[in-house]
Amino acid sequence: MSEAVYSQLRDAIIDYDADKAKEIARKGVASGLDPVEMINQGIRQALELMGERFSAGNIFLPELMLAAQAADTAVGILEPEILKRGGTREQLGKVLIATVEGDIHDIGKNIVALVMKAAGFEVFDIGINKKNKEILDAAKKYEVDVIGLSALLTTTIPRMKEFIELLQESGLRDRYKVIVGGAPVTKEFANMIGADGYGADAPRASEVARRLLAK
Amino acid sequence: MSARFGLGIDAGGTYTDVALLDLTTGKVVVYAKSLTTRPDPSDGIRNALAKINKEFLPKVSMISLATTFATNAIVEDRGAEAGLILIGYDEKPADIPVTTRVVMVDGGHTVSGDEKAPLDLSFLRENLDSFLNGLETVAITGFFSVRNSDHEHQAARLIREGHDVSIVLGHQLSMRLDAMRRATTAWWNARLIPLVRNLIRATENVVSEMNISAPLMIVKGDGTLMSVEMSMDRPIDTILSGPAASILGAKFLANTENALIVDMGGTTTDMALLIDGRVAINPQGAQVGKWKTHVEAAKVRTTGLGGDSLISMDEEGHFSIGPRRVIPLCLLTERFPEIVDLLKMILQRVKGYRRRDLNPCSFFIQGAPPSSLVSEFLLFEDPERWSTVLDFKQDEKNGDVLRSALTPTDIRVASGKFQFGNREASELGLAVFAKYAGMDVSSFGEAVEEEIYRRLCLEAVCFVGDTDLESLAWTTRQWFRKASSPKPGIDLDLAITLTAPVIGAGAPAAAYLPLAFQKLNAECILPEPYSVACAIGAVVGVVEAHLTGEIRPTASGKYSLHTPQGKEVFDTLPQALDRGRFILDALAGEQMAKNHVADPLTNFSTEERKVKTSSGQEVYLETVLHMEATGRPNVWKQYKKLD
Repeated sequence: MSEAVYSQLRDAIIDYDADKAKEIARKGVASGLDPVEMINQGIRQALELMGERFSAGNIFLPELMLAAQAADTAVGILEPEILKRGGTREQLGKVLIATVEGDIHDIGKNIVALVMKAAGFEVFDIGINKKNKEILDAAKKYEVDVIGLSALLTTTIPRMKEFIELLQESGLRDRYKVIVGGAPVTKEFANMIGADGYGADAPRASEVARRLLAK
Repeated sequence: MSARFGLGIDAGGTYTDVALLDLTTGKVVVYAKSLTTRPDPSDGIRNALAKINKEFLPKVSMISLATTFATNAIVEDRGAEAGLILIGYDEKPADIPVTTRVVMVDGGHTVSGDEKAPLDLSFLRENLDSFLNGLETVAITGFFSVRNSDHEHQAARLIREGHDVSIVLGHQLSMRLDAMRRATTAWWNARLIPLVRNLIRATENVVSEMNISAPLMIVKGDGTLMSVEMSMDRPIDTILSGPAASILGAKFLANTENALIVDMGGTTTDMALLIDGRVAINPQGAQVGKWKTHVEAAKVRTTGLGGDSLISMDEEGHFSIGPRRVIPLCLLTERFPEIVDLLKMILQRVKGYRRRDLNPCSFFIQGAPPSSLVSEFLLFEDPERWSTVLDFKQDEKNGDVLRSALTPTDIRVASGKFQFGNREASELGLAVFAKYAGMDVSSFGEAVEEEIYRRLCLEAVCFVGDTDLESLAWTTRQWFRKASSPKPGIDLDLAITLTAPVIGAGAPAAAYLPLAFQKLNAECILPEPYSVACAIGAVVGVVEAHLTGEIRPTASGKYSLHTPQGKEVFDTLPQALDRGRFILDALAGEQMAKNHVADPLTNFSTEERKVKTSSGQEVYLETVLHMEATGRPNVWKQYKKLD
């Protein structure tokens, strides 16, 4: 019985059907299934599959976002249930996400935030055009493990290097893992500025974050 | 031309060594050892120099000192009281003790060297008198001062107007990022200034008493030399001076470019790497005790294992050697001749293993001379007094009580392999401990030696393999134990191979290193006189200056130059490069002159960092400027033999 529900939940996400995902989540809860297991066996697996399809070019950005939204809707039903039962949803870690100063692009950042949230990270999205100091202050405030920086403009990617230098100067370089991403960013750039990881797209950023925290 | 000598001094952990090197031939003329005196090592230097033929001394044209003085001062938390001014810091560095006089001032800079906030000079002016009251020295460090040193300079000028204190500026010690480490480094540098000043004056007095008139140089932690004038500004650069000099001495004596250098002294064994003829530097900056600094110093692994280490035993019959250093029994008879009879009595009474915290050969030396001697074993036999042993051990930790006990040195003396002190005392001590351990004397001696070999191998594996003892699997550690004494029949043996030779240094090196490193299939070179390699290394060092600067793009498309002199902005990259080269060249020349080098060899290089975006567009990130200058102190010009 439980496997059938997990499978329906996976199908709903793969079909980008948020309403159906919500309905199955409700039904599962009503029939006494463990919401934690529904997330782990149903939602997370479907998201991983969609991430792989996206990275391979088999689906495109709108589809990925729809799948992530469907997943997020189902999680919205399940999370309060977990809390109600005195449990906590297993968190992969806390992530802060921002677009750097001088850059007002937020689509890429929003997708990464959504995908990482659906994957099981607690995500703090502090928005666009953020000064490095504001990003660091927020990271301290929310006590995050990972900081994800996004930029779309060639002229703003030097801010990422400066952010890492600010961490070094503050004596906090070892405290946070830094992942950079955005259209102009390359792996070579990430290495050169001393970032911990590079996310070529949202699913991969999520995967990199998970790997960094597993170390 | 008559011979000219360089005098190398190693004021180390247990012994102070001096060596005279003939600068025209590169030959070691004479060397001597004496016990190190603490906390002021100058008496030990005087005693060692007194053992050298007086006729040699007027021919000395340069003196060079390697000393663990600064390292010890930091580890033992001995330093002058120093104030700390933090400009533009959000918080106080966690390392700095709460009792430190700290003032936090608004100001500081951003990553690009712009003012984060204006320097609050009026606040500083108002508080300066009470803050500096009674202080000899103060450290000033600003947030991102390595990108713009202006606020540090302004604060320093304000202090100089009305106060006579030594001032240390953070950006002048290192151009690395990390304001917390910068504060620790600057603060400790300030704390060391009065101490090092006294040490140098005392050493200069000793030297002039001995009729030597020659400039005094100090070995830095990276193995290069600086003048005493320079060392009074930057005493923190002398941390790890001793190990660094040993590397250079070992290299000079063995004429090798790549090796693991193992310097075994009375208290510790230090390991370091010689790579392509250079001292391998710790890339993170030197750490001394719990203090993380920005000092460029040799990457060294130190372990409390030496000739004078305490030998103890646990219930399973395993020996541990060190980390505590004690006075060998063979040296105790000089002050306490009764020790021989005492040991004879203990030998009668000792029956066998009793408990882990009992050492049958341990004696506490209590009070100022004429001190009294208390035997740990006799305390143990008296149930009413046994509890006082804990007080003695606590007093020993605090340095109020000294301890003498059986050491590896005693085992060598007892076997007749080493003539040193009173052999009878060592023999008796060995007999007592062997009886206690239920072993015969010769197998006890071998077991201790095997444990030393095992420890040396483990330390080398951890150091070269970049790991620590805890991470090495238990089985690996056991294998080292087995490899030193395989079972009869079929057993597993260990075969790890060190791919470079070992160069040994220090007095006990010959006794342990060749057999120890045989287990790592490595050749062990012991170039004479290896026991004073560190003192020789002090003389053969060169003076170096290494200065860095940075050029970065500004938001408005210009180029900002960041050097120890501050921040300047230029329209074009070539302009910034020219100016950067000019400033670094001048600073390097200034430093070299201060270190008695008139015409250094200089090498300027740049590293331009550009990166391609995914669309193929090139983004300019920065250019790092390096100026390296090297040379020998002026008195050496004619002596080519050392190069």
